[in-house]
Amino acid sequence: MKEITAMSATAVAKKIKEKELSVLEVVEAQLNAIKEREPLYNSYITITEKEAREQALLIQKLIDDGSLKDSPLAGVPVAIKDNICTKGIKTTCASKMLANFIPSYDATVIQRLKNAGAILLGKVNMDEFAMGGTTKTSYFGEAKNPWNPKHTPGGSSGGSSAAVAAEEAFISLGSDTGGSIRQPAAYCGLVGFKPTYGTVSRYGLIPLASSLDQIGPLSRNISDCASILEVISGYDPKDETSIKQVRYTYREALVDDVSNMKIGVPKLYLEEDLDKDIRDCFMGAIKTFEDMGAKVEVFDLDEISYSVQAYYVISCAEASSNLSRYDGIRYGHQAGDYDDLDELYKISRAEGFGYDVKLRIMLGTHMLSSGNYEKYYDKARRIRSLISRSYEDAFKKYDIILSPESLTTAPLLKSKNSPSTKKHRSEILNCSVNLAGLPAVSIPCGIDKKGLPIGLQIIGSLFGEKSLIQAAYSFEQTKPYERPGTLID
Amino acid sequence: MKINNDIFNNILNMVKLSCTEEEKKQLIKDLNKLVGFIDTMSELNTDNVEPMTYIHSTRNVYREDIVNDSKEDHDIHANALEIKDGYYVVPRILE
Repeated sequence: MKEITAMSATAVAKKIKEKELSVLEVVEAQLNAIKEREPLYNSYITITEKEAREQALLIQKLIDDGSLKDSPLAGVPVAIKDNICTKGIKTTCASKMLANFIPSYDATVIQRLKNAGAILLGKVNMDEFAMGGTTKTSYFGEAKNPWNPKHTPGGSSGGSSAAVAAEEAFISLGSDTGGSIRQPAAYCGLVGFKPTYGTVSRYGLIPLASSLDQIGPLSRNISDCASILEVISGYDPKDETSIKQVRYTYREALVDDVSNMKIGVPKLYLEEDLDKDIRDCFMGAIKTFEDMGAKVEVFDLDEISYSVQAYYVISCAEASSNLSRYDGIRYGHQAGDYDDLDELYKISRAEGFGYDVKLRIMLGTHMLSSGNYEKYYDKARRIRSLISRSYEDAFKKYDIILSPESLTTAPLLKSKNSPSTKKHRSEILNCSVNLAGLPAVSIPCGIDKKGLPIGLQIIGSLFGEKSLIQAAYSFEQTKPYERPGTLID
Repeated sequence: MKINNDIFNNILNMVKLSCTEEEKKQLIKDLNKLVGFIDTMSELNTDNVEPMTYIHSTRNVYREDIVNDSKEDHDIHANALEIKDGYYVVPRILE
């Protein structure tokens, strides 16, 4: 089983294409791995065993007749974060509110994956409504980090990261609003890619914050990421915030060359309270890029100091608006006992939402309310302009920007989750990227003394995915993927 | 301004939620912590800066005025608790 499930998506697709493996063999190996490991990691909310086997046979026929010869993902099993709609398959957002919700349509990204011959294995665990950084808020129980199950796999795409690191899927899709792909990727030793806002259609992504959300992949190497990005990217008339681009040939950027690449490192990040191992690893990564011929320079990016405050206001304001649709009538949890319509709404929502969701939608509504709108929401949008402009200026000088992906490695599951200064500071590494709509990738760059992975974040200019992929690919040649030593074989 | 009991109840009503006394105490505490943190935004001068919502330019979106039968796409009633004659059933609103 390990010989198959430990491969990269690119490698398994090649073996399927060259008829060394059948799609059904790969799917069976993957389902066996899930059966063995799920009791330990709880990565999945729904496993679509029957559908995956049926799809495997259909896809094998299409591969054999040549219909999928140009697809990089033909026959590859993938896991999908449970906030992305899948027709006929429960899509819960890890919430009691949607515990029995079955979409009657596929998200655009799902349709594209199906057209490319990918096999859906199931829906993976997450923080409730994508609000959180640990997956502890999931109604279906926390997921665990395959590197050390006492630690969180991160969030909100924690199930996505745990599944791929535990070899329960070759690739997964997550969503990123303020770091929710990149941070879990870093915690689990994976590559996690957030594309430029507007690159991937959000049609069928159950929204958290509509001006920040993007769907993206988590994988064991950058080549797999580039392949799935090619499949899922593209203008979609059903999502008019998606942008028409000329080409999406990201695999062309898998080139080992950063000579003369100009790299900026914001001084602000070097002054953060980083764990020592993370700081050493980050400085080591800078040196690696310099040794490979890139020019690295520290520069001021002080305007992003207020990113987290602006992010909280904007994301919670948009979330409170997006979650107002859950009224217990058209879909979702409905209270059993109420006197009138007002009570139906209030009790259904109180019963359906967890604590963190309630906190955020209340904060968001408060920020938007009369007397507060200008002081908070408008102010945050002005800060967003400043942040966006600062990055724009920075990218006139630099091709990419480097930062650590987080201040710490994966915390213990039993650590407290309440708002704190350190938690706010750790979000500064991620959320300014979403506010500016930029692409960013987290790649593994080392292991700390506790044996937990450390991530490096590379940020690109708007639509600068290719520079990110090239930089990540070059770095990866010096630090190939490491498998968690704790996996049962 | 700190969130007191009255402000909290007003927000609770606006978001159409209810909560226990224990939850209320914790929510007020956590909300005030977050608001205290967010209040530091005022330290940054944003005079003459235009507010920004979308990264890319905003534009109106038009399509050809052709009728699509949206029932072909998906069944919007599929997850409702109760449907009658194509309508969602709700508690009585008018006396």
